[in-house]
Amino acid sequence: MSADDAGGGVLGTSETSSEPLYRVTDLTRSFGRGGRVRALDGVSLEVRRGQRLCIVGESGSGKSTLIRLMAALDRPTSGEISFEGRSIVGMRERELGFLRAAVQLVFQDPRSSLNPRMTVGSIVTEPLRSAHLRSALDAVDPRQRLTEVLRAVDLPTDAATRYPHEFSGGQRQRIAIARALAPDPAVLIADEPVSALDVSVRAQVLNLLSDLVAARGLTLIFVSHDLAVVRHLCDSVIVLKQGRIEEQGSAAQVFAHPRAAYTQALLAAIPQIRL
Amino acid sequence: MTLLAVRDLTVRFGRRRLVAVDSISFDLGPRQRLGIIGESGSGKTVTALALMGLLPETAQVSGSIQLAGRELVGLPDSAIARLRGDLMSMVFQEPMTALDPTMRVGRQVAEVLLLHAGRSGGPARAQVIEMLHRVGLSDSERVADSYPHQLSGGQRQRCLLAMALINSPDLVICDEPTTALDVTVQAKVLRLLDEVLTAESAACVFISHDLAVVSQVCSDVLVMLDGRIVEAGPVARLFTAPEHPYTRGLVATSRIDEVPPGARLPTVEDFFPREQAR
Amino acid sequence: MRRLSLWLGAALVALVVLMALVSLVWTPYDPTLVVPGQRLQNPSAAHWLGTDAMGIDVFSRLLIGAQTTIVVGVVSVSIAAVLGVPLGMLSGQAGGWVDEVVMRVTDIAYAFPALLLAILLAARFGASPVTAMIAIGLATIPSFARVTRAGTTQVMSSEFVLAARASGTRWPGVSMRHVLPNIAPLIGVQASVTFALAILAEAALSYLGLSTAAIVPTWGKMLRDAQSVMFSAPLQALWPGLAIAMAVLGFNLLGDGLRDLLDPRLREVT
Repeated sequence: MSADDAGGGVLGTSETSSEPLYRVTDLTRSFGRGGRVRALDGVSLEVRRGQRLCIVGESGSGKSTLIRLMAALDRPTSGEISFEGRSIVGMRERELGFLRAAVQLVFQDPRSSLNPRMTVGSIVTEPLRSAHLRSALDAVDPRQRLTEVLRAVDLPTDAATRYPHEFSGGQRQRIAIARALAPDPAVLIADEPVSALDVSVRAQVLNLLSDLVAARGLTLIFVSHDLAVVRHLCDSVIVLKQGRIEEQGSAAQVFAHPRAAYTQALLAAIPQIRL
Repeated sequence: MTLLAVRDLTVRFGRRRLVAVDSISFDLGPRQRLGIIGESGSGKTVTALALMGLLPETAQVSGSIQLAGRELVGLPDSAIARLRGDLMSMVFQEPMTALDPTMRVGRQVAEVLLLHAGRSGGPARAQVIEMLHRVGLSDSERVADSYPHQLSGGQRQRCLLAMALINSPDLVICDEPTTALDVTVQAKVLRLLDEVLTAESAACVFISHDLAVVSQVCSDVLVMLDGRIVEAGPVARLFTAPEHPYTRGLVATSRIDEVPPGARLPTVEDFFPREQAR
Repeated sequence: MRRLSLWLGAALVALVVLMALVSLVWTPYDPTLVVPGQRLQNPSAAHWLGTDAMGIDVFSRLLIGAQTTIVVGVVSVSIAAVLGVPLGMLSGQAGGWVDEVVMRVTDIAYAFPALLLAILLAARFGASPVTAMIAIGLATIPSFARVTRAGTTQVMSSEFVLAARASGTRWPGVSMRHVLPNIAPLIGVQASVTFALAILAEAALSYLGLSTAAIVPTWGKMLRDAQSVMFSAPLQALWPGLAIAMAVLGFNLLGDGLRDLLDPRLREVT
């Protein structure tokens, strides 16, 4: 069965380590009648294992479209995405087990990414209940995993029996992070995980993410519109504008010597304290 | 002379009388700009709504709010409504929901004008076009004839700003007006707000959770925490010599760009530990 | 104000249910006992609401009538919900051509006159409360399907569904864990409003003789019987009319109250 093969693929990774984890080639996604709106236009990129890549762009840049395609939640109009050397474009949901087990997402607004009618415990363990992951992660005790990931994100264990609305914004984002960690993924995709939060709690969540990435050896794909946040978390940056890659390079280089005018404008727009 | 004098303003909600704002007092002079900074649940938005008389029925307000010598607390809604949009106005956070999707933008701006001035249609349109121009919409004719969904986020927020300013109010209340915008647009709108407030010689209360954003527009800041004012003063003083530990935390978290990459970011809790980080 | 409609609605509904329950164990007189000697009596200590043209105690008939009302409501709403909700969820979750087909079929069903359906069923299977309930149930499937679909599309566009899909949750899991719990309030409101509609429809069908066989006492049948003596004994029409109005108002108010109570926009005020 393909699910079993997929499980083997996730665990036996060493032979493919020279190959990039993700290889995206000439990816295009159009919307609307006759594909008039090109949300993504010929984007190519690679993500290495252990890389911390940030995708920067404003609304309409195509950054959310890109990560949805990479998470196989949407189908490209044209182009190719391979994960661990296997093409995921056009693959049926049944065959995507190897990706679902290895790639997890954290969304922007925890108010809408957590089902208000589920307890924190069932939210966090939901990924473990899917058929894919049950076969890929043999013999994981959900209760034990729940305690472990809640501890990893600094939430009290008794949080499991409560509902999302009983928590503050920062805590809710921790719940979402705990859910993403539950299936022990190799890749964490975070879509603007701090932009819906107060400035005063952003730092906490960013510190947590950076600790988790380091401790668990995660590959991080971090989407943001805020370059200041990026510099702390990521080693490389891709700047997207209107569906095209405007600039890419190491975080240090893009920060110190931005080449594209748009990157310079983004850097200049970071609000500074004005005295 | 003070434009706005708030004394012991307290707002409670519901049957359990939960205190959202706990006897706060402050003054605002004409043309002065005051930032109110705090996290969600600190009472900053409730304060703004109390000033505008826009709190829901379940709220109980006590204390005093005097605008240009007129007491607003206890005034019937019809009387406050006459002041709203005229003497004081508000710019909301989410420009998409603050505009009526079924009405052309120009008409929405004109309505604010006609509501208070009762002028005829012709000159109103000219005034609207001029106002839209002044908030940086160069093709103001086209914008006036557009529906909200045909405009970008920045354009919509400029329209809201035009609505807020068209009757030359003495006081403009801005509730996180740039939170929903892209960074590059935010920078432009903040610069514009600064210019337009000066040009219209209006005073401003600016609500935000972001100290850096507040400092773009305001000279003075109130820091709110759990419904109380914990610190107040000029931005420069607060930033260089914050007194309250919570303020110190806020200042530290707003300077992410000064922390070396890879280093741990300072958090508010480093300065101001609370029982369980809320 | 919001609370008032909820409580008033709940109280009226409770009263109807209470009448039905009481009638199961006790009525002042046999509600089917025809006593020719005491026709059209005025309210008295013996007959609280008087007697009707056949000499039957009106209060007893009214109590028994509540039973039919409840049964008709429950059965028709159940038929509509059991078929309409899955249809709406299918439509909202599958999207694409499935959605298109289901919604167009629903539109056609919606345009089919409910009364015609009731007449057809009565003609084929004989007029009885059962055919009336089936007719009402079938006729209200489209509105259930539409409300469910609207709620489902909204839930499906939320990020928690995306998160569930991203971790490999298939559609049955999404339906049961995410969609159904989140649209349940919506369905509750729809059920309450449909219940009122069903009561009214059954009364209308009884009145037209398309529901009740001669002796089963329903409020609609009482209204029909009262018609012949409307000028000599107007009170005869008043009692069942009031009862129907009360039940319909009750379920409508309850529906409105629930809607307001469950509206998240009104809930998150602090």
